[in-house]
Amino acid sequence: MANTDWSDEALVSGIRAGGSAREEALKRLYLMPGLRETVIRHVMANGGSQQDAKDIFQEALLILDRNVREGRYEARSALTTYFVAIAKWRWVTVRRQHHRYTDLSPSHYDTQVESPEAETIRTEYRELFQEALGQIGERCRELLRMYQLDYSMEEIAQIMHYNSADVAKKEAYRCRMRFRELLQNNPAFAVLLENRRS
Amino acid sequence: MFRFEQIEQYVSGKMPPAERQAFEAEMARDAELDALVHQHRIERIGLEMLVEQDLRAKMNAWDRETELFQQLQPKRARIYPLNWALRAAAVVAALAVGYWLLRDRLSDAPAQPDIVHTTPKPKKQSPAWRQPAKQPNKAGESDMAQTSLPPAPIEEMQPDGPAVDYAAVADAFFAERDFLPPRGAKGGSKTYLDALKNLQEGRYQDITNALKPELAPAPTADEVQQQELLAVAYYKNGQYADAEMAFRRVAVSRVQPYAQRAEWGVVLAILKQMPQRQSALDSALDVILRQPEHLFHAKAQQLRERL
Repeated sequence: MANTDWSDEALVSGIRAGGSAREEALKRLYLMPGLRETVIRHVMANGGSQQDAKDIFQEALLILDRNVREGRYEARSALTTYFVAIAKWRWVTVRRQHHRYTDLSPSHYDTQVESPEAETIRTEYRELFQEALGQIGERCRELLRMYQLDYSMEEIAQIMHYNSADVAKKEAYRCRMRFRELLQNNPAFAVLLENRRS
Repeated sequence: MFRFEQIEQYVSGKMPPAERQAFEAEMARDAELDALVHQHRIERIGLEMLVEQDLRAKMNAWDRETELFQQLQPKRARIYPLNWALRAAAVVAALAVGYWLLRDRLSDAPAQPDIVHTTPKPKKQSPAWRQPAKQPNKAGESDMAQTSLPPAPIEEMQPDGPAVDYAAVADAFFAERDFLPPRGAKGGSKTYLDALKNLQEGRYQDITNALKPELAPAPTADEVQQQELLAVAYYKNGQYADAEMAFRRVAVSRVQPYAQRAEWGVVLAILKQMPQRQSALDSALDVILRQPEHLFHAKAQQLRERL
């Protein structure tokens, strides 16, 4: 049944619950009146285009989703405030990556949005991951996506028509190992492991 | 598998505190375990891309839903003025027809039977809605009554939106010169030049048999060039999934300008596999659009607008 009481707590628990509750909560945030306009105003007032603003708005939701799921959002501020802070932080980062001069610095926003290491890996090794993910097959991708979103093995078995949770678990392990193998076959992955350790 | 689950629990933050402490102590002692945890963590960052791609696709769908909703709102509002305009036009047209007929009747009145017109009588001003019949060759002026009304919104004519012919779009954007040197070019190894000749003569199978679908670690420019040519051969041969993978290998090599060209090649190869690969297409386009200095930034922008 649709949730009509969308407090911050409801949104956060919806995202953490996964499945359709997560989707509904994220959609609610994405379409929340005024939120998009705030981000667009900020990006465009700081040298961005409308397309930049749209991208930043979407990326902010991706980051918020991840942070809430990973327990990085500690409810010290309202969820919308947190969202806007992420968007601002993201815009600063994007401008810096594109070497566009900016007098804003991430430290202006009192928010630990993402670990710099994870951010660097995500940006620099995107193609590496994409290549491996492109080779594991559609079914494995879907299974691993659900696994990443903390679906239970029972749910995965039901959605993907496996005979039991146990079969789903073995399949998830097999897919994960296939992903690992593909990564390990790529010399860039060895470089990544080495770089991150040194 | 037990170790895998244990690491997964630790990395995802679901390990109970006591167990966590013990596990960390073990990691401190065992460098191999520490390395495995590190690798696991990186893999999870990669797997997040699956969640990200899925959410991006959903956001685009929500945007489309919202746009459709917004388009429907003014459309509903327009219905009423449109109805009134049509009614008013009908009344005006009826009056004009009535007037015209009446004038013809009056001109045929018995009071003037002896008047013989030897030359055509100058035409009376026709009602506006009759004009097109007299000027059939004027393009764009087909019907005044219709053109005086606002054009029907596109969504009224095509309620489900036009279907995109992705393959045709890919064909429109694919240009051999983006990936290959001009005919007669001499640069490159003998293997490359032979393969290039085969490609130019349409012998794609010979290329896919001769070149290996792999790229050595730290490849030379020639090896990258060969892989690029293989990707183009796959593409031209209709093996789009293979083309995508070959382009991806080139892109990952980061040897420029091949890597940037290959990023564009990935987009085109995915486009040929649409509509099943929407999220992959979005993210491949994003890779280019995020870099304004990218060789194919303008083309990628045009493509996104086209789609």
